Amino acid sequence: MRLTWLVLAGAMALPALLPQPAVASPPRFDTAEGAEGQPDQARGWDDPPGIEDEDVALFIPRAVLLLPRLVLSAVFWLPKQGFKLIDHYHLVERTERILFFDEAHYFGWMPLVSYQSGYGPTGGAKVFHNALFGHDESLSVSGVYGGRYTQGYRLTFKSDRTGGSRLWLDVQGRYEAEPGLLFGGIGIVEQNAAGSDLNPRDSNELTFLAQQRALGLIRAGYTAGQRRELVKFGGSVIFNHREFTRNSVGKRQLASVYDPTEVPGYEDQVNTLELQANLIVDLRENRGLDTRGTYLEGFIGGVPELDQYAYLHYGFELAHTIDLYRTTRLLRLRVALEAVEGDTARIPFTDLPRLGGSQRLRGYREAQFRDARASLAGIEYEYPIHESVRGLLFIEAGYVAEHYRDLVKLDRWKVGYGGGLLIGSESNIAFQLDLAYGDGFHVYLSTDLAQAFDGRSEQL
Amino acid sequence: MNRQGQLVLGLLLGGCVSSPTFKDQPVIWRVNDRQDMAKPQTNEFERIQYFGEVLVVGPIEHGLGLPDKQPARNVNALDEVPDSTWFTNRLGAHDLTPAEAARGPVTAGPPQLPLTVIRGKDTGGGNPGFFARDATQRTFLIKFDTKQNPEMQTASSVVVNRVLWAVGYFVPEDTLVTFAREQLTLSPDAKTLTPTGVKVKLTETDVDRVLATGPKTTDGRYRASASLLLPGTPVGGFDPEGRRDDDPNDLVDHEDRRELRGLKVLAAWLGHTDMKMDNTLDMYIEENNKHFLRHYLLDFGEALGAHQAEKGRLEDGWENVWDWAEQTKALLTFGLWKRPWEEQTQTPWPSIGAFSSRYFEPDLWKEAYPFSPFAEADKSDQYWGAKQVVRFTRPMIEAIVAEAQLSDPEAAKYLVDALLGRRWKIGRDWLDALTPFDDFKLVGNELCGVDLAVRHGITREGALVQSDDSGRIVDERLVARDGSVCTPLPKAKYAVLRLRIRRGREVRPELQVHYSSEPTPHIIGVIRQPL
Repeated sequence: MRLTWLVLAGAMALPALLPQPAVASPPRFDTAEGAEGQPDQARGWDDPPGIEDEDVALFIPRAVLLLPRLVLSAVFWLPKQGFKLIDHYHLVERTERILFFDEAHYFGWMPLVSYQSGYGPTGGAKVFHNALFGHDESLSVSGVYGGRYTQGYRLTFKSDRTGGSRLWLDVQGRYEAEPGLLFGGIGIVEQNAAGSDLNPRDSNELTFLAQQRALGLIRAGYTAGQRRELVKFGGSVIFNHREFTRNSVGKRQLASVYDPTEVPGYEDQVNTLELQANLIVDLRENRGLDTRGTYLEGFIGGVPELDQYAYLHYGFELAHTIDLYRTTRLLRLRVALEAVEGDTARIPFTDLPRLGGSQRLRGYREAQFRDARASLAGIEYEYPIHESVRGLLFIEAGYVAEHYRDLVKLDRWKVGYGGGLLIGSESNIAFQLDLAYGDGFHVYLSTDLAQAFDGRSEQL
Repeated sequence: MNRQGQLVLGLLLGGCVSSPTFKDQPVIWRVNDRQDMAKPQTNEFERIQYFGEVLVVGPIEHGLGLPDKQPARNVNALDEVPDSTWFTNRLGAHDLTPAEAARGPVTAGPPQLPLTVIRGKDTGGGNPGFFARDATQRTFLIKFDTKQNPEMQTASSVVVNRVLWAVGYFVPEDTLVTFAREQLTLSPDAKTLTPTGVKVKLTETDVDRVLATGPKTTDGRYRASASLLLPGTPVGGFDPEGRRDDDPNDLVDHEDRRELRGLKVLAAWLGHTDMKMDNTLDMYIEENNKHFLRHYLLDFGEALGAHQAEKGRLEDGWENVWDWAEQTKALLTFGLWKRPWEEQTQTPWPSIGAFSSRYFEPDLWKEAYPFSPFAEADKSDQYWGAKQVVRFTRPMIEAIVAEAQLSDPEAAKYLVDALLGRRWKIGRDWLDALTPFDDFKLVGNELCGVDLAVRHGITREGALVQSDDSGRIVDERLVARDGSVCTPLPKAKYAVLRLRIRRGREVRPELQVHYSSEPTPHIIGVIRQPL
């Protein structure tokens, strides 16, 4: 290898081996000679050059562009003053000190900003520590307001190797008040039925409801292997409490279209305790830009017959990246399946697998489709624009159905496609913008996508 | 007549202008920009303001202005740069021995151990380091390599320093130093500035933290670059555009200075992409009872591929950090456009990274942060820069690279070859783009000179063609193997020799040599790139 490099370099340098001037040749000029001149008069023009024809020709476009230039100068005045202030008051450094509580930047807080079509902007903040016990254990507490949430709070602890051991531990506590969640019936119908008190299987009319939800999750297991060949298996206990009321966003109420008695759980508080067995195979090289490798997540479990709800719940997600060119052009293939089994009257409508939104089928609204089975397939192409920016093109297709036999009717699948931008580094993604088209244009913007795939898998 | 007046006149005359002529006076080889002056204000480097200006606001405002290309304004009648407080002709004026080139600006050698840290590094780039006093009480800025690329930045700081000195720029005395931890002590008075500008005491922990960022040598010592503090009082870097308002000697806009425009060629050769105001420094000095500014270039640790390696951006050298044209094109072509830098591969040596001649194309080269003089550089400026570059011989480059003390001789050999390869491409694209007939002297009734492209091995043959005002060829001579060639002189009080180099069927642009035979034959001026 070294020899190859040397030969190549030598070949390039060959012409330089041709005759060289002799050392100690007489001076080409002597700067001590003559008189000193003025710095801007050394050329000594008697009759200086005139104006080049092409510069003369530019007189008219320059005159035309004068006004835009002046306008632009006015527009840039504010950013320029902003730049000055940032420097003068060391605002970058001060912000860094405000955001991070330690020099290693493990411990700090971040503002959260996101935007989702149909909900609008959400803002909030997250306090985090990414090395709680010194082995990349991540603890975070966040609060968000606006958009989808009246308020939402989340406490998360995640660790593949807790305290340096093999213990895989995820703990999550959440409280969310959502004033206008979408409900568009159950399943996908060819033609919406008209009227009110409809069976949710007869229409996909979009309606809205308010939800208050509390969730507690503990997942524990064993971590085998290192990064790039990580296998985790374990079990989870998930407690969910949900209460539903009329939506407070002034949109069409669920009860004005659908028969509430046919929407399991809507008129009651829903309390479920779900037990799961989990497996994650994570062969990805990194979790930021240019993510490549394979990621598989699967689970099986269900809600035991302790209360009025009981069902079996399982699913998987598989993502694999094909390197098209030197890890700069990547083709990411993704398939996911999620299903529940049981008496439909004993499965809360909220626990039916869903499609739509920023993580699953971006061309449609969040949770626009739901049924006992949901399947999704997608192709995402990532290409380089800037050292910290990647472009995305994607196409996704998915379907929800009561029975597996309906899932294979591919002509019925809902298709969404679009493009986007990722901004970040190899280790995380700081910003993602997706523009998607399915049944209309949808915009998703997020500054909290450090877990590109993890976020998607959380939907399972 | 000012340019606006010329423009109006030019419009009226439909762009028809007369041929320029020179005053018949001795060529000016020195300018007096050492007039006594009061100490100017310090020109602080405001990072966000600077990058916001050069990366975002500047390109848009500049583009809408449709500026015309102005030739360099500080050259003399022979299109050379006179000596000034910015530049001192060295390699252009006379050949240097390899030993002279390797010694560079260094007068008293590297720091003498032990070193005493006297303050933290709050200037001189983002890399960790500190100011230390050596056993002879000289003060140095000490900086380290990164762990990923041992020897890379320290080697670059020395090699580029020597090259730029050899050409004629003012640079600090940069050397290498290797020391053990016990040869480094901390002054009890040592202070440092926090990122927010607060002065705090420098501790042993701080020093150890700096040392921990760099690699150790095989015998457990630390290798660092040592830059001797410059004489005088620092008053900040020079702006790439315009002039200092409070410097009466600063009479030429910086973007119109030939040595700064031509620096683009040297920067391209050396991969010195980190060219920005922060890597320049004006020193307020006293000489012969006069106070004035001397203008330095410094901080060369991120050349020779180091900026690319440190920032992890392979496009370094091809695209500005924020490159409106290239990156918009990339966005809109969805990755189908393979950018010219994408084929690069890393060499086997961490001290070299991906620096090579194979993928180097001079016309595609770009600095990381747009630097106005580089943007303004025209073919004459590039020719001047290329002329400096091709005068570096293999023995000179070998001697300079040896100063970098690379531990792997193969890496050092590769670096020499890479520099020679890039040198050749610069000669091909920027020297031989014009008529490279230079080093004139009058011999009898002939004007003799050198075809620099032949002399320096860029090409093997050529012919010097002289034509009259109507374009009719009046003389054609083959260039000798050593590049020398002569052409007859006309007899006239003021004559213009119109010369071109022909290579096969290709003819280079006209070079005008303005000449007078009275009272004795002498050259009055040269126009490399006539309108």
